[in-house]
Amino acid sequence: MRARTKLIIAVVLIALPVAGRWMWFYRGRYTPPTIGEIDDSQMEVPLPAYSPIVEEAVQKAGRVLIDLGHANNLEVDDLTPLRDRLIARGATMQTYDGLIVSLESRLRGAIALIVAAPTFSFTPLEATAVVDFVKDGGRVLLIADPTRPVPVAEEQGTLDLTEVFFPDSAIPAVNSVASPLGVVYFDDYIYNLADNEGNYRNVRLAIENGDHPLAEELETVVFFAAHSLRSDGVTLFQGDENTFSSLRTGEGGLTAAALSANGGVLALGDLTVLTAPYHTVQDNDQFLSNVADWLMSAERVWDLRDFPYLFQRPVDLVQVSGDYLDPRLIARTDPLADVLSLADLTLELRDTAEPGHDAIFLGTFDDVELVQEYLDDAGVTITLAEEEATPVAGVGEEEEPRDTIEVQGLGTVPIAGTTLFVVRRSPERVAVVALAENGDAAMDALDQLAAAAFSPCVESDGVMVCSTGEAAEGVGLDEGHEPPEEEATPGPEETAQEQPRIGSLLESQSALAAGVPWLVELAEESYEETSQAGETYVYTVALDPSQDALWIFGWCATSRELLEQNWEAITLLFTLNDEEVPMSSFAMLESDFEDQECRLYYALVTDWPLGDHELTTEVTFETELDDGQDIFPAGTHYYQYIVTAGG
Amino acid sequence: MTGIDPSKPREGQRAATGFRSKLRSIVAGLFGGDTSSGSGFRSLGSVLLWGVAPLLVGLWLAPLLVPQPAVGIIRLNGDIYVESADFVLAQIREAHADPSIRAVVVQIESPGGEVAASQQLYMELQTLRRQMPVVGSIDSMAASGAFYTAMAMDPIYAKPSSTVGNVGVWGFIPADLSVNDVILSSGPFKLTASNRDEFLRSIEGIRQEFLETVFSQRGDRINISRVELSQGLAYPGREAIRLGLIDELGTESDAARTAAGQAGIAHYQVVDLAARVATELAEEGAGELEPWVGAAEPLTGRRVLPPGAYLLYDMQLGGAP
Repeated sequence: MRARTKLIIAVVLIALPVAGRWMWFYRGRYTPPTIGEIDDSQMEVPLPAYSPIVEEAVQKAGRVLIDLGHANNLEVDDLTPLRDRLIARGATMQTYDGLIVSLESRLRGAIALIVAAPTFSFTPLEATAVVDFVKDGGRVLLIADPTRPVPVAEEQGTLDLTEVFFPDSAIPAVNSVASPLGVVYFDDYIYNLADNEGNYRNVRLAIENGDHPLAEELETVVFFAAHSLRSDGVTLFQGDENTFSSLRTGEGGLTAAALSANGGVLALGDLTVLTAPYHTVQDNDQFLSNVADWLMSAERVWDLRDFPYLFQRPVDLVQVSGDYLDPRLIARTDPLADVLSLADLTLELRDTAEPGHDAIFLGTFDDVELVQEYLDDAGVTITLAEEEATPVAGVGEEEEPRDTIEVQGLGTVPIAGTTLFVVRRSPERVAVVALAENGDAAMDALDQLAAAAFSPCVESDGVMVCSTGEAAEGVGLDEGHEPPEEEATPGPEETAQEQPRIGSLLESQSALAAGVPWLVELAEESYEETSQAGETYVYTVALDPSQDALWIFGWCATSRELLEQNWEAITLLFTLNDEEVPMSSFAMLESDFEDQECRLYYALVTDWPLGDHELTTEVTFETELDDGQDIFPAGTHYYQYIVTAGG
Repeated sequence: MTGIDPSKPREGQRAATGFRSKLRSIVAGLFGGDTSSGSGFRSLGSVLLWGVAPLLVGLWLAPLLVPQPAVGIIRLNGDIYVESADFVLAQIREAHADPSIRAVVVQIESPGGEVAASQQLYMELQTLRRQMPVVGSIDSMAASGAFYTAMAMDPIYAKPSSTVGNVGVWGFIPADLSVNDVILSSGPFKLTASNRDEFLRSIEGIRQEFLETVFSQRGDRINISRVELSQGLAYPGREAIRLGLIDELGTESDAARTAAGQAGIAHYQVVDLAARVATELAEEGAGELEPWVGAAEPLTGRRVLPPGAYLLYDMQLGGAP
């Protein structure tokens, strides 16, 4: 008993510090919480509702041009569904690559233009061409897509994610053509977190203006990451109250598809909606067909500037004046046939137009009997001096009679220095009448027609009156004034030197495309630096008289903006054997070349008369120029080509 | 004369004498000796044996039997990926194994990372939470996958301007390899494991999982809708409290006090489990953590990410381009 007591006391004493320590450190007990489970009912990722359609396309005809000339961020198959729908409707698909042939030229034959995901801005000339195209009844489908920015170059298999996540926006590029057409794209994307097609950026859009053919049979269209946009016309698709812009917090009623005010431009904020397989989600496939129908229903109005696309049938070239067929006309048949082949048309030289063929009637004002019906129909009256010599009423003295052309709506112009084009359409044929002062001018008129270069010309209701630049003095505003004597009787020393021929714009374009050598390439000399003020760079060229050569001046800069700025300060003067060659004789090409943006002015020079010829390009920098790589001081420098033809 | 017989005390002295006698006997009982002057040395020995010694034994045993409780600090720093998650998992194991660790504070300084690695951390911390309190302490950032991981902590502390939230997931779409006669496979997705749309659905599923995890763990405290939270915004700490994404503004010490309170411990010590694990790994000769293959190079900010989905708020990419 005593021992047990001792033991108990000992144990108590042992336990005492332990208990004390326990009580010092521990004041309670941890109770594990109930860990909440996730609510499975909130987790559902539905599959998209695919609804492909089977359609019966209405056959039409027309060329649809796809723009690929603005570094368009497109994959090979992106436009395949739309292209297939268009082909099913009889469309002929063409592409514009921005090389050699201008957009304005390519649009001549088109009824519709598709501009998808451009990342390179349209030049003002190109934008104007598109605006004119729409005014002429052409239709434009504009597509931008926030997932299609300026592409990032991949470096040896590695990807710079900073560039991937923060690429340069393509919005300035698309707005360069959209703004002139009455549409503005915003550099954002729309999203909907509350009600979407599987992801916040897959936005279901409500149909506005459901009566429009583009909205036929549509209930819900899904765009897969789309820019918002505004137009001066009507909204086609709009997001609901839960659709927001990534850029403009709180703004509702966001538009992702709209038409321009004149109805000729459809602007979409998403490209993916037209690509496989997304074009079959919800009513997208029906929308795709509606877009194809809309593009093919363009009612394009072609005029002379759209040559050769104003023709629809085989074309006959008919000489309307003279007793003999002009050999020069024979020589021009092949180049003209090449031009017509662009429109899948054939050309035959005939003495009269075949029934069911379209026709080009070419002649002088001296003999217009064969085309009189077209002239009468167009309200054109040609008066030759020997036929009529009318005293001027009130003046009392008889004025020297003039050969004149009277055009309804334009007035009367002298025949001298004038070329006349008349377009008449009838169920039988489209007829183009080209009349000029003489045979040479008639040939020039044919070249002018082939190049569709109608400047300087005035137009009224299918009649185009052009100046050859050789109008007689004392006509129009100068009427009544005596011409200066020294100009009236040129001295023998002023007799014009025989000149090589400057090709038409069409010939120049063809020559560039065919790789005709440049004068500088044929020269013996070469210079490392060629743009220093005050310098004259002499090039000696020996060639065969039949040798074609291109006379070129080009300027490049590291960016489009710099190039535009530079050209505003550059003045060019071309002279051939001391005679100025007008800038209008030079074709212009803008293109990128080895990471630089360049603009060329070029002309084909051919038919060199034997002997020496001097071609000079005078280049004046009005201000100091910065092309992004070097600084060039202001001033003038010269490129002098001494060409010896035939030996 | 009246003699006094010591063995026969007077009646008046009887009670006092009896008491002393009883006391002696008790002392003798305690120490085993008798009360005679001849046995005094033995009585002291008894006192030492039955009194002091057990007390000393008790004092010696007390720290062994009742170690000072500790709040372990688990550190989740940097991107979350397989290797970095392994380091955090080692700290969790250490917390499990060390009986003195009665609560943990997870200090977070992370932009998130890979989905599976983040989910693994979340699940392991939930398991730990069944054993001891797990409290979160956000330093400058708990975004995306790190915020997901933080959902296994309760409460969560942050600084007023900590970056919190960024709910969501992203990833690179897999290659779209169509059927061909160069590589033959047993199924349409055998070569790519997915395609663009399936991957997008997968992303959406992960987003929903993330969202529901937040709502299930924050319960009634949440003060933001699923739609708003889906935006993926990151919030300052103070705003995150208002939205119910976290609980308190405070420091790691505050978090440790709260963890200790939940565990019912006082006078605790704080143990840096990350340092301990790092020392152990160093002693074992384990190399340092290799940088994540997807981590941005400090100087250039360039990354090469492996395929997969990420709960990632990227500091390199989160700012201005």
